[in-house]
Amino acid sequence: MKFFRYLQYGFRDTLRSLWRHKGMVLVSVLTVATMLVALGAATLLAANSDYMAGKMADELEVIVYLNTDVAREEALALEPAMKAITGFESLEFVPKEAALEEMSTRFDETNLAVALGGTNPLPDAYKIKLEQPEQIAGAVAYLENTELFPQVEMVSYGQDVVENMIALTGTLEIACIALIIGMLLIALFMVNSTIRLTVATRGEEINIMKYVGATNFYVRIPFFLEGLVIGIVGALLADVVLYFGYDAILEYIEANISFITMLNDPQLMMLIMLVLLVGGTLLGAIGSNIAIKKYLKV
Amino acid sequence: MNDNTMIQFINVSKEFPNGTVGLKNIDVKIEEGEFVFLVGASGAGKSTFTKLMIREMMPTEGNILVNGKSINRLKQRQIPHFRRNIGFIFQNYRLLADRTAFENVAFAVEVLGASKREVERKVDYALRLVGLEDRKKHFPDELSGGEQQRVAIARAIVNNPQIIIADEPTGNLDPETAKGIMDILNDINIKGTTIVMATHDAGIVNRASHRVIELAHGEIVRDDKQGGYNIEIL
Repeated sequence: MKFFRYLQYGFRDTLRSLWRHKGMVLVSVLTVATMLVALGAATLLAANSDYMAGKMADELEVIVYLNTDVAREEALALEPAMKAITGFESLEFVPKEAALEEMSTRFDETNLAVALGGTNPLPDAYKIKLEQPEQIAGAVAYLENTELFPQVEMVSYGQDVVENMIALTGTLEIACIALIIGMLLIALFMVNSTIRLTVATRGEEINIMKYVGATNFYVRIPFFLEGLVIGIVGALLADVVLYFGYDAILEYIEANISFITMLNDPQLMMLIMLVLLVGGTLLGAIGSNIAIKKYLKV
Repeated sequence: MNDNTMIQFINVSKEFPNGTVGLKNIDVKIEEGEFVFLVGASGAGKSTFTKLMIREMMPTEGNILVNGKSINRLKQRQIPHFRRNIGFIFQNYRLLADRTAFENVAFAVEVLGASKREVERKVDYALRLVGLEDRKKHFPDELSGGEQQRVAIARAIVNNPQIIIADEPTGNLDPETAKGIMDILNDINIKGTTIVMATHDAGIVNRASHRVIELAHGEIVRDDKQGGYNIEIL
């Protein structure tokens, strides 16, 4: 019975305290929300970097041009050897007729077939996709081996793009991890400081409670509940800002910057929102409990 | 120890980590229902004496018995229960600014897990005793110093404790208001509550003719059954 009365008084005191200290509560909620928005934004930035790097990697391909004098049968017979490349994902054989047709579409006012007098100077080619951009260098070396592939005239793979992308992806990954860890530490520090400040302004209250014989459990109830409420409200606010903010950014980019495709993954968004909600709740509840510890030693 | 002893210090010494001596070899008994003034200059050991009585700190040596039980041996979780038998009154009232007079007194009853009806009954009674039943919805900053101290007294007596410890309860009040506070404390004492009051107010001590324990440099230098503030007065 006593336990339930304690809870009853605890809930009442929590509501009363939230209302009477509304200025401080608002500051705490906004701090939690701001920090969690920053943390969520850093995570979304990292996810987008990863997504864009992956998308660019998907578009990378190695084009193997064969000598023009290689017969079609001989060209097609190379396919099993191409598939043996480390990291092979897919390939497409591009016969010279298709290559000429594709080129013709780029010069729509000139009839290439007529201009070339019915000849086709283009070679047959293979377009090969690999699983990782890092595997391209090895594949190129393999394909340029004239002893294995005397039919190969040239291998093209956008060397600069691949090298820059490998370097950029690595740097981005490290930067994003550092950003998330940094934001997490700042969030922990800021939220902890705010809660400590809130509790410090009420150190006298805790002190008096202890003098009249309140148990630590009784003293902790309203502070725990207040921390919980601040954490939950702050996290929900952060979730709303992140959800609608990211949605607005997606819409804007789709409408105005067509060459950038951003990650639109509702499941990932839900996961981030859930993690922030749980994190914010724990941060508020545990933070306030740790903060009042020193005031209980009376 | 005879049956009437409420508080007993047995060879109690308190030395702080920085080497300052708070109390030195204190041997004293306070009987049930006694009104004791604790006097002495600042730093004489009055606060250390009261803090030891409520187990806010532990003695370096010796034993303290309250109501026949050694409080040195209390476990941390037993301290709140022990303190419910003691009422505190502070010089600066120490009321919670964001709670009304009623709420300030009520939370001392709520910590016991009392029902709402019991809380109301006890608080109304305590506020009536100190003459503040019509001011119960006022916040501390809407009350005068004397009224705030009366709220603090109501909070101290609401659970009907056996002991009241008052640390300079009239220190911030004018003589007339201080007299009113002393009248309330005397009434409480007459009903059987043991009161230990630390004070600098010579007038109050001299008028009351209660027991006076004088401390200097952590030692008891005087213990008069019905003393005055200064030894010259006797």
